[in-house]
Amino acid sequence: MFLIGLATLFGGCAQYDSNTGSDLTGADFRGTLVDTLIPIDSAATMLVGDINKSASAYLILGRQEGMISDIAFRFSNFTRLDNPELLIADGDSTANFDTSYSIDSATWHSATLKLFGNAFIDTSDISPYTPWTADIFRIAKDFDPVTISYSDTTTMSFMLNDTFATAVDTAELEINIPLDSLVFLQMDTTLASMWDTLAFRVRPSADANFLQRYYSRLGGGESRVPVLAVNATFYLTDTTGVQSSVTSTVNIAPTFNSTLANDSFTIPQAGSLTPERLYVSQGYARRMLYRGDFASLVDSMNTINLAELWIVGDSSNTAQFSRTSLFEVYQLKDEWYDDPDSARFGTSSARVYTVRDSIPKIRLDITPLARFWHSYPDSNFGIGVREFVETASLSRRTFYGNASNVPDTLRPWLRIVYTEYKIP
Amino acid sequence: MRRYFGIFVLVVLMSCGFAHGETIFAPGGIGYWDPGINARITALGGAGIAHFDTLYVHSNNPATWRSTGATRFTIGVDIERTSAKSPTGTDNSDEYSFPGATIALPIYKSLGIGLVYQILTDHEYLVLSRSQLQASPNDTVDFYDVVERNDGDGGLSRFGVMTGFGIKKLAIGVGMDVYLGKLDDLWTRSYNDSNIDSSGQVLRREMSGIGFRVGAIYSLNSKINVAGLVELPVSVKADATRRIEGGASFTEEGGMEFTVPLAVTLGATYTKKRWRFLGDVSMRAWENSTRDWGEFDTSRKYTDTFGIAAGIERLPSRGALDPWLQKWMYRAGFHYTQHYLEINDNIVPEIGFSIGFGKPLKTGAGAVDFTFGYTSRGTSAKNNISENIYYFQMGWTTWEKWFVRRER
Repeated sequence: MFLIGLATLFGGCAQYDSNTGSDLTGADFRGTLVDTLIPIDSAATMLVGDINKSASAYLILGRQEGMISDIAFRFSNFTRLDNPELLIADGDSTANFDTSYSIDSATWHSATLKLFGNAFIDTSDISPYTPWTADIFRIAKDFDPVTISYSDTTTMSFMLNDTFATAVDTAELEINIPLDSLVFLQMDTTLASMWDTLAFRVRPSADANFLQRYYSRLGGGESRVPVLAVNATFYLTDTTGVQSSVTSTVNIAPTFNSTLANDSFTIPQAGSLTPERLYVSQGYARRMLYRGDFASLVDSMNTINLAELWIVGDSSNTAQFSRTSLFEVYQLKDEWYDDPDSARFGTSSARVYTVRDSIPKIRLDITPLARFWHSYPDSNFGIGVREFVETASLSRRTFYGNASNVPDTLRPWLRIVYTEYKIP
Repeated sequence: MRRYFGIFVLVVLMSCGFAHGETIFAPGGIGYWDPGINARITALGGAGIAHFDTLYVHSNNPATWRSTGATRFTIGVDIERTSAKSPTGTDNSDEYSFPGATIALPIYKSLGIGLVYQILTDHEYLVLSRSQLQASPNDTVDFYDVVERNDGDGGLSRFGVMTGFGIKKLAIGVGMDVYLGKLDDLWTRSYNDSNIDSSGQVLRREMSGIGFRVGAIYSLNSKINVAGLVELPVSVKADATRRIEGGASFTEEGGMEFTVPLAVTLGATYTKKRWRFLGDVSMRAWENSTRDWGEFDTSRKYTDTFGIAAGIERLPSRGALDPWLQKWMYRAGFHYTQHYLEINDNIVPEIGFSIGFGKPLKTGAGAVDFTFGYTSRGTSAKNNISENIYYFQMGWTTWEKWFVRRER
């Protein structure tokens, strides 16, 4: 034990740590690094369709380059109107609604739907002062706010056509036709609604040559949420039983709002796995699908060091819309070659890519996926590229496809950097 | 059974896992051939197959395992500093190692039997090299700064069962050895680009084989002994498994096979008063040994090895009144041998000098031995790389009476 202790104390475990002797350590054991580009054998645009955008920060209204976008609102209660101070009477009265009153009923006089503007989606082709009009539709109360889409028009009834001065103004849509009678109940300091459902849909007319972004109920704060400003006479009873009335305007926020976009983007080349262009879009969502087979080139006796999908965007104005900027890569779970719209997206690469017009060529790192396919070649169904948040806005970006007439410098490639070993 | 045996077992168990020190010549073949021997034999340059001693046994020659009437144990440790020099620079390595252990038991009259564990080859090395690399074909990145790591681990050992007996002036011994070992060769390359995953592969060979050896010592007279030792060829078979970084793991079809070739050693001792001279000459026929040792070994050229070892020992005084320095043993030795692989188309010579002393235990039941040595391995002129090894070895050899019927 003494011997071992002494030896350990003085021996240590240092080892060679420089180039010394590197020429004796078996050059054949070292691998050769190979950098190669593999063609994409299958590519397609997947159509997802209009998707629920009720949780986005903005509502988009207008029409541009064939895209039409409506906004739908639903008012079902006053849960957002939980501050009695908002029920301040109009100028001819000093009475406030507070806990000393209860609201027995109300008589409607007028209503205005107010939308607070943010910015244009794509300013490349529009004038900010373009006059425009919008059609307002009443929606039947039985619509499903989660699944409603642009094409769902069966429950719409035309109400009026309203005119706006300019595109950039806050839109105030006067609702001049009778609404349902309003009944309010005041419970402590919170107003609860007895007004079951009232829903509107605003659709731009043909002269709205822009897409305007308005704050949604989630994006603008209390001062900029879209509201239905209702002017009504409220009949009140105070705590002593004395009845009175006051005419005032209350702002009612929607419990649901959503952008409903149509399918007006360039139609992908359905059925082709070698298209000239592919698209990825928000709002009316599309995704891009790619697959390259490298199993025959990089067999299981190699190490994959790097795998990238190179794609090149078409940065012309006609090809882009609203300049989407953030993409994400997903593993595809099964075959999609016969029916791209049926592609199933699996695990995300958990990495977001920024795309700029100035750098139209982007490299998507798919190394972890490629190494997985390397071990399990039958699992290589390719990758899907989609917008990071498909519901956030309306946008479209075009990429060059793998058709035979697309130049090599623009077509998609699978770049594989791998290490090749001498295997006995 | 007895207290020394208990200590012996404990030390062996604590030492397991320590192989010989690393050497830059370890890559290739089955590693660098460097059989572990005890501190006394090391001090004598490795010579001593012809010397029969009542205390020490020679781990190579089974004829030295004939009975001396007592159970003998030997164990030791090494501390080595290796300094390697090549055109790319100089580097040092410190290593602690456990060269082996022996236990010899008396059976009946002159018949003795014993067990020996002996490390035969070193496969310990680690080389880090930095360079710039260009992928091929390249159209994206000009160069990568890379760090490559070559790492070896393991070696070949043998566990032997020896028996020896004496017939008048002749001692004869035979042994059977089980060869076991593992060789790992790891190569990795990392890139300065964080997006690029590292490359790498590891080849593991798990070896096994059975060998035999025969030795004899003949006493010409009271002063001169001569000896011969033959180690028969051993076919070492290996299951080879290769694992690719990020890729497949598979076993080489058919495995691998390596023949540790026939070795013949001749030795002699001459003793006059308190001086003893020892000399051995050995040869191992590597060049024509059969081997199927993988792609990486085919380009290496094997060569027969020749070795010579010589030592001188000053024996202790038996005078009760002599000063204590006279009661110690003093030794010096020299050896020359060769690596079985040619490097840079030249043989790799190894020359070593050693000195040492042994201090008998006061109980009279053994000795503690100390050895200091220097070895030069390879030459810069012919092999393009050389090593200087400085080492210190400590050994403990003892004996105790077993199987003795007590008088009632």
